[in-house]
Amino acid sequence: MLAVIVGGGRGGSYLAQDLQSQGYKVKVVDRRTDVVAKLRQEIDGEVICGDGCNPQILEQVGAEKADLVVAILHDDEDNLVVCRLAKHHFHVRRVIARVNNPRNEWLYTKAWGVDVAISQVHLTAKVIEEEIGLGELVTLLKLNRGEAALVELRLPETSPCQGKIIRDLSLPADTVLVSIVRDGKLVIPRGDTRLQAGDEVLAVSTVAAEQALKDILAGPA
Amino acid sequence: MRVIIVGCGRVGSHLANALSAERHEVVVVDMNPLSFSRLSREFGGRMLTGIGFDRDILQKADVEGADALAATTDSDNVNIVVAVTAKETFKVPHVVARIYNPQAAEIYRREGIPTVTPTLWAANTMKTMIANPSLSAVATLGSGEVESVMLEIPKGLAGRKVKDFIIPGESVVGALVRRGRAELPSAEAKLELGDKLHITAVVSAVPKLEKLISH
Repeated sequence: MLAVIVGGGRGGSYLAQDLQSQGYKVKVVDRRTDVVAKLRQEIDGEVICGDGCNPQILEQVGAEKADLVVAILHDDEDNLVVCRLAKHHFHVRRVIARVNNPRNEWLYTKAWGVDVAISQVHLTAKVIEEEIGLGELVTLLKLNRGEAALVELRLPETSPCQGKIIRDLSLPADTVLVSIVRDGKLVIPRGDTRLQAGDEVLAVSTVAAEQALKDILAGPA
Repeated sequence: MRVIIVGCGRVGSHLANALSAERHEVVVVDMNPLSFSRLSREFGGRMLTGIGFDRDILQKADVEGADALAATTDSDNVNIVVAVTAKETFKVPHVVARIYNPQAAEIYRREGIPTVTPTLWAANTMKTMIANPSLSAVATLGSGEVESVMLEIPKGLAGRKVKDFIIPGESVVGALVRRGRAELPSAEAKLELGDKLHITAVVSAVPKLEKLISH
């Protein structure tokens, strides 16, 4: 599996190492020579000095053979250009991009070749929101152009599903519980897993089913 | 026409001034409000400070009612994002983007975004001026793939025929100007001293023409 990461800043470097540990062959592109020199010491993969928005450079990197392209540059217009080239010109199956300015998030769509957009500011804001609010459904990641989302909810004391097992919750059909974090430990949810107040429940849900999911986990508002 | 111009640099400001002078309704967008000082005193359009692909800015510029948009900032990527957004999201009928990178320009042109590539155009025009001095460049067409050149017939070429300058698939003779009068010459027409021959040729054929002339 080949992953091409465009942008070798802190995020790109960390991601490269992470993907490598997951078994990906990683190539990182950055046009800044000092960043490239630093990256070559930090990661095992190939580091290419060049502008990843330039189709010629992407071709040199072998973008058409990549299973995954990640655009993690600091300007949104650059990320969008990388995504569009990767998807429409090099036909990369999976294209992921970082949103820098939340004002530009609306542009990160399928038309621009973006499969998944990750907004750090958005994410941070949501996490903070979540730390403050109990029993609120928080969107962590939008999937498939916003059709579904990875959401999180911490069960409040008043949760109607406290003490119940998952099988008995009658969850909406378009949702699935992915994980539960309890006292800092991960619990993989099964039908007979019993929920407790304070559980951090991670779920994938369609947008349409979100409200129903929230009502079941936290109780109707 | 209602035209949005994104980027008020040298090209953008000239374009804005020219369109405004022809009484078109012009909105100019630039990140830097100081750039608007390039606009002429007669400029009658609107000025908006902001990023050209920002939704609020595009809405303030009335993008949905615009007939045309030109993206002329100094960043290829900004121009691409602005042009594609205008065309695909807001269905602006006429969109053009300035793209310095010729390979990228070609890709977007194939996607239906008309692009202007000044780098290629300037390089090709200069090359003709330097390498082929007896042919004067009249116009560079498209992004420089085809040149329109003018040849003033010197003594050595008098008596040659128009067809001598026609290379099938590579060059055509468009017009002959003799004593101030232009005509469409036949291939067999004989050339006289001082005739001005207008030849349209693919760039790769220009050196061949040059060779033909110097022999």
